[in-house]
Amino acid sequence: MKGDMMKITWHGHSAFEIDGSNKTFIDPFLSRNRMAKIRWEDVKPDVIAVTHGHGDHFGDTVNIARSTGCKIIAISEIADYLFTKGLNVIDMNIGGTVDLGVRYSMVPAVHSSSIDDKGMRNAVGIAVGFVIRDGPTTIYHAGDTALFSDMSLIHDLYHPDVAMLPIGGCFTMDANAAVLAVKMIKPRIVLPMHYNTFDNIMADPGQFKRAVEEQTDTKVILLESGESIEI
Amino acid sequence: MDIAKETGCKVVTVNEIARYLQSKEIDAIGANIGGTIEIDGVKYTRVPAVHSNGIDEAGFGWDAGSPADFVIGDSCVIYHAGDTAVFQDMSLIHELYKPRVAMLPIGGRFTMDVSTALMAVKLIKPGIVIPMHYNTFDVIQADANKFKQMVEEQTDSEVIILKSCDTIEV
Repeated sequence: MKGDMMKITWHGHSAFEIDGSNKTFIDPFLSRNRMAKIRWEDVKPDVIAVTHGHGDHFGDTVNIARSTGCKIIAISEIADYLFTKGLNVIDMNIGGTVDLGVRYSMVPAVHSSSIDDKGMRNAVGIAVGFVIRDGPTTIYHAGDTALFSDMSLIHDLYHPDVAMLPIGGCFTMDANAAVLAVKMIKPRIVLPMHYNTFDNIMADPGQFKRAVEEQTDTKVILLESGESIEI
Repeated sequence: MDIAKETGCKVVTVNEIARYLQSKEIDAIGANIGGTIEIDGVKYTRVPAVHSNGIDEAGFGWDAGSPADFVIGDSCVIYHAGDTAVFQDMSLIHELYKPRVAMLPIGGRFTMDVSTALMAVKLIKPGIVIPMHYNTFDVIQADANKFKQMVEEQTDSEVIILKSCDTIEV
C-alpha cells in the first residue's frame, strides 16, 4: 500500500493481514481454519506477529517463515522455541516496542499459552495482544483474552483507530464482555474475530454490532473471510 | 544461583522458582503474589508484574511461575518492579505500601519504556525513582535524562540516575 493507507484483510478466526508500509500477518492460522479461503503457501508477509502458542493462532507460522524468510515477532519463550527451528525471530515482551518502520508494541492479554510439539503440550510464555502503529494509523489486535480493566490503558497509551476483538466466548470474552471492552478501548472501528470457526465459539456478530453502535461511538464492521477494509 | 551457592544466602522467590532452586540445594524460600516473608527484620512482599517467565534448562522454556516483584521494607519501603509493562494495579502498590523508592524498567522492548514508565510513576507516587533495565543491551537503549526531566516536570517524584556501583542512602 502507498501513502498513509492501510488495508486490513480478515481470513477468519484471528488471522489478519495488514498491508501498509509493510505486510504483517497476525496469527496465521490457515491450513486447518475452515473459514480461510487462502492457503499458507499464498501468504508472503514481511512480518508475522504471534499472539500465543495455541494452534489456532500459531497456525502455519513455521511453514510460512521457512518458505518466505519473513521475520516473526513473539514473546521471549515462543521466540526461543522458534530460534531452535532456525527462523528469523525478534523476541520482545509485554510493555515493549519493536520499531521496524512499523512499530509493534506487545500488550497484556488474559489467557494461557502452550505449544504442541512431538506429542507434548508445553506451556510456552504467556498470551499477549499487539498494538501496531504504521504512520498515522494504530491498530490493536487483542489476541485471545478475557475482558480486563487495563484495556483502558491501551486507550490512554495508544488511542487505537481499529480494534480486533474476540467475541466467540468459551475460550475468550463473548459478545457481551466485548461491548465492555469497546467502552474501555474506544476505537473508531471494531472488527470482531474468533467466532463461528468452531462449534463451541458460535456468536451473533450482528447482535454485537447493534449493541456496540447503540451504546458507543464506535462502528463495528463485519467482514467475510477474505474481505478487506481500507483506512 | 552462583551467588547463592558461593555465599549460602537465602533466595526469596515465587514458589515454582523456589522448587527449582531447592532441587539445586539452594536455600530458597517460596512466596507467592500478595504474600510477605520476614527475614532478619526485613519484610519481603511479592507483588504482581506483567511479563513472561522462563528458565532455560534442557533447551526448552521451563514454566517458572508468573513473575512477581518485591516490596521490601518496614520503615523504608522499596519497590523493585522487575520486568513489567505498566498496569493500573500499580496504584494498589501505592495504596498498600507507599514506597519511598521505586526501581522501574525504562528500556522498552521487553518492558515499559520511558513514556509508559512515566505513567507508572504517576500510579506509584514514590519519593524517589531509580530507572533500571536500560542500556545493558543494544536493544534496550533509553535516555534516562529525558525520563528524569519528564518525571520531575509532571510529578512530585525525584529521579536519581545511578551509574553501575553507585549507591544512595535513604
